[in-house]
Amino acid sequence: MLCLSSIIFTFLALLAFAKGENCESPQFKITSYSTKDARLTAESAAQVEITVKCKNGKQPSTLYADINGQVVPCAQSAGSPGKYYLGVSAATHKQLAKGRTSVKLYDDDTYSALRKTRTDDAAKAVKPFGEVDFYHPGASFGPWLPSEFIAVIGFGLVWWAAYRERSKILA
Amino acid sequence: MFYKITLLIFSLIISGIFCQTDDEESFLFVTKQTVNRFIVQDKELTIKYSLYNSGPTTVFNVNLNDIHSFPQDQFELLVGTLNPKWERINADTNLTHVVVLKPKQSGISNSTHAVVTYQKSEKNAEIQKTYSSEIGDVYIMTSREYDRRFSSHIIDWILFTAMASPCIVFPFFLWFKSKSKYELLVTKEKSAKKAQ
Repeated sequence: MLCLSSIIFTFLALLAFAKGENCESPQFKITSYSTKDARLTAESAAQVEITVKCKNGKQPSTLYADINGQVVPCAQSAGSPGKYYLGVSAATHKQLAKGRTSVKLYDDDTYSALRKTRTDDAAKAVKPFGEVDFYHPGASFGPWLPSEFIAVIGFGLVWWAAYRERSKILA
Repeated sequence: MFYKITLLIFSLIISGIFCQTDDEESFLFVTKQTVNRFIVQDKELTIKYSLYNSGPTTVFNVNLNDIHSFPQDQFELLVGTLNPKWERINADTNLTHVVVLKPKQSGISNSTHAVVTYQKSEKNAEIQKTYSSEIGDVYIMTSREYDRRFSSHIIDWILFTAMASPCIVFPFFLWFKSKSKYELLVTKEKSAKKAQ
């Protein structure tokens, strides 16, 4: 009798703990990186590191991110918990959108709610776990005008002024 | 006798076919590439890992370990982690993981396969190990070589102008002095003539 009641009690306690697993009022801090030098690299890639801080100290077991319409799970570091990584790759430099890109985050519950929806509108109506955005300044191809060009123009002007004076004297 | 042998062979073939279709397994394909055109010492090196779950089922507990390819004394880790893990990857999804490193030394460097372990099902704790593709031997050029081709050279041009300016400024100054003296003389003559 005691054995059975203790088993039931531990089961209920486990249930209670499992319910408390959810992360409440999360706060996100992101560090993002994206390809900046277009001459050094052939393709563009970006990486967003998301640190989640929950009020009750729990960490979401999986974080999913909606990037460019596709919902992918975020990688977690085996070494440091609480950090989630999202990688984005683009085949050309232009395909990685310049400026601010908004990324919706989902945890287990919100993700399963999202998967149950059948239509696009219902999918948009699901409230995400959080939303972060990262900024891509664009990949630069180097200075607009090469410095040799400016040097040639400058010295060319000097030469032309001297030539004009010389022809005035000779004439 | 002949009948028995053909029946046996036939049943073996049938069982072989059924055995194959019974096991619906997923395979995880991992490729490891660099997006860099050149790998330069002390400049960012971006490595992109693409994981693709080809099979009909989800894979669980995916762990990618590439710490051995980029030792701490030769590469500095700037962004990302060399040991990411995913709890689950759904069927037919493509994932990307980006790591940015900075090579500390120049020369030829070899980077081998990354090791990926995953579980095919949530209940079965059997771990499947697979290897990613490798980048192989790469040449890390020194930052001087890269700068010679690609830096903006503005400082070089400023130095060049500073060194060439005596050659230009000195004759210009002589000419300007004599020109201003001559023009002064001409205006003096003109005013003298006008006065007359």
